[in-house]
Amino acid sequence: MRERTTIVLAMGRELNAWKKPFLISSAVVLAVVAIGMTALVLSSGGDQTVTYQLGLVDDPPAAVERDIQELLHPDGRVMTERFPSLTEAEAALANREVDALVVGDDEVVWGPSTSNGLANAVWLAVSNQQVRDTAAGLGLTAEEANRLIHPEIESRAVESPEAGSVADEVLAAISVILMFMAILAYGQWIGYAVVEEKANRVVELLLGAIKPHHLMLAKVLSIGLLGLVQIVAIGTLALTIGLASDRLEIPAASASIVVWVIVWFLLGYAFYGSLYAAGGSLASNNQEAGSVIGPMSILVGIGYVLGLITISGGVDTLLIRVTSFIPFWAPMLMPGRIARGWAENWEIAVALGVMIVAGLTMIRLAGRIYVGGVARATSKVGWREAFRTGTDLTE
Amino acid sequence: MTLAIIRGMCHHEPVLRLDGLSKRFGDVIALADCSLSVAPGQMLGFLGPNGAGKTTAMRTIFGLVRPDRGRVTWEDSELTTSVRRRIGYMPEERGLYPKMRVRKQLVYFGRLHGLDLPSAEQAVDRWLEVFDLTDRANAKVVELSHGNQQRVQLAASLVHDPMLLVLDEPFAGLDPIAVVTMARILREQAERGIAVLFSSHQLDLVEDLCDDVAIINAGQVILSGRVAQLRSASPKRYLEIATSGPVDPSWIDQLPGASLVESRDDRIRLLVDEDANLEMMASAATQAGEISSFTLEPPRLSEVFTSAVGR
Repeated sequence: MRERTTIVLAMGRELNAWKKPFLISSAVVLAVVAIGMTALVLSSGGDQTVTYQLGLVDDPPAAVERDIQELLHPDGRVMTERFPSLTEAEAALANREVDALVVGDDEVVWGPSTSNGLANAVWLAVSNQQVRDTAAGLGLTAEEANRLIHPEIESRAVESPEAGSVADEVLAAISVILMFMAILAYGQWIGYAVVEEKANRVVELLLGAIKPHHLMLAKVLSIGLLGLVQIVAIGTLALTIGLASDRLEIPAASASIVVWVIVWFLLGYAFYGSLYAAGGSLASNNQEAGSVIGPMSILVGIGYVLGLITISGGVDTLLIRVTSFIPFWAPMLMPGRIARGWAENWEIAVALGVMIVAGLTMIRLAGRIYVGGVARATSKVGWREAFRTGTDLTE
Repeated sequence: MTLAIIRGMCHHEPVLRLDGLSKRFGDVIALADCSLSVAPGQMLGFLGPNGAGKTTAMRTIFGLVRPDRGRVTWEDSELTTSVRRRIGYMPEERGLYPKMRVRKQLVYFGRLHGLDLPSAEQAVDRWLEVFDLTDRANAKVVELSHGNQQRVQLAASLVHDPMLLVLDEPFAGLDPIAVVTMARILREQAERGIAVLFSSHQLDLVEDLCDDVAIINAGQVILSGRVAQLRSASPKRYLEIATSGPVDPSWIDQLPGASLVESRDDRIRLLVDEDANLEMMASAATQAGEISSFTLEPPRLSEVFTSAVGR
């Protein structure tokens, strides 16, 4: 009970210490995500509906106008203007005041501002009306006439097995970038938090009241909690913006991808967070911290580069498949592979199993190294020496 | 219970024991069969030259150094974290969060050491008042002067009402007024029955403050006991002669069994042999000037220390 209280107290202090950097970094990251998602929505069409001006002469049938609207939807719509004479209508067409003319039920006139899309829609709508009129003359019902206009044709598309949708690719890229940023940033926070306590010797006071591995646990948990909150906030914001726009096609699997990103973040963070804590405990000041923490960040960076190559390359290579099972890189690669639909269920299960075992092993190893390193105030401690002198967590 | 009873009773029953501690860092022997003990109400001065092993020995109490041999016990049992929470520690290099506010920091340490929030806040406010830091309660530690940081550090070791205080060089860097304040607080703690172990290079201060000392050299406690007994156990005797006016110490050269240790304007200090003829010396001194005091005394603690460590 007392142990849990000290861990919670240490977590509270840690959360308080990182509150400001967390809020600033969250504001920046959320702003970037909001801007990026908005740009994505806009570039995907969004509300960029083209409005055409259509001139009507001699009262064309209402069905023609209705057909044109339907044919242009969702990329465009028409505003109509009635003209008393063809001469006035053609003058307006020449002056680009209208984009096309429909005269009666059997004539169309193009002008300098007529686009292909509008021309096709107008032509088809007038043709449809003629088919309806002819069908009616032949004694066909309106339903039979409609069947002539819209024959039942089954259509489908075959996609390349490697190429997913753009949204899948975007999701995969976001998951890789997010994972890299979160693990790197929050891992480094842990490393430097450990070094800071060691450098200013406050750890010597703390260790009189809290067991060293509990102190490490408090750090990893509290900073991890901040990372989790940030990731959930980013995921929620991105999905909200995406869903709020009817123009961005959000894959149905998006919510599950967000869940996968969170799961892999937790696993990757537990693995790397412990490693960073152990690394931080070996340095006695910030200068030394760079030389210990730097190589770990390179490891994370390798995963990031591999992940981005995978996503942009659009091919699930053997290298990526193999490395996505290795705990150092699985958190960066597996969510991307899942998002692209490349990872088989058994691959996900095996990678998760490997990652969980690796995470637990790392927590245990790092805990021992932390214990061996954190109390050595005088100079940089070697990994092996810290492991040798550190107490095993089970003792 | 009177102070004398507390002290008398406690000195017979040490609570903290360092038994035969040995520690080696590579080729460096930090501790070599180091043993000492502290009892409730006892103020033990832990003395030694730089690198003698004082800090290493103190760090073993908190598990910061794991001895290669020997053990640290509290009431004959292994030290556990729950016992360590009842110990106040002031490390050699001060350990505080520089950017954390004073009151918040002290409350945090109090709570970590087992106090609930109201008790911690109450204790912190009391200690802030004792150390005259109430108006700096909301300042960040880094904004305080060195002396005030030192006071906060001592407050951090006292806030949870410890059973034992372990203070590594608590007087280092303090101005004379702060030294007096800190000495008074330590004395009060010992009088309350708290065991106090502290290291210091200010031997005159230790002599004034402590009844007991332990002197460590090369990782081993080479001398320990009551200050008065250690002084009187020394075969050396010092003769201090004060005169009413300036004295020329050249007459000492002809004096058998005496050698000059220190000479100031109106005061000389001589190291004399056990069988020295004091009457002859007094007579010689009288001829040199009018004597205002003539004192034969055992060595000071600083002289016992120098002699013990062979320097």
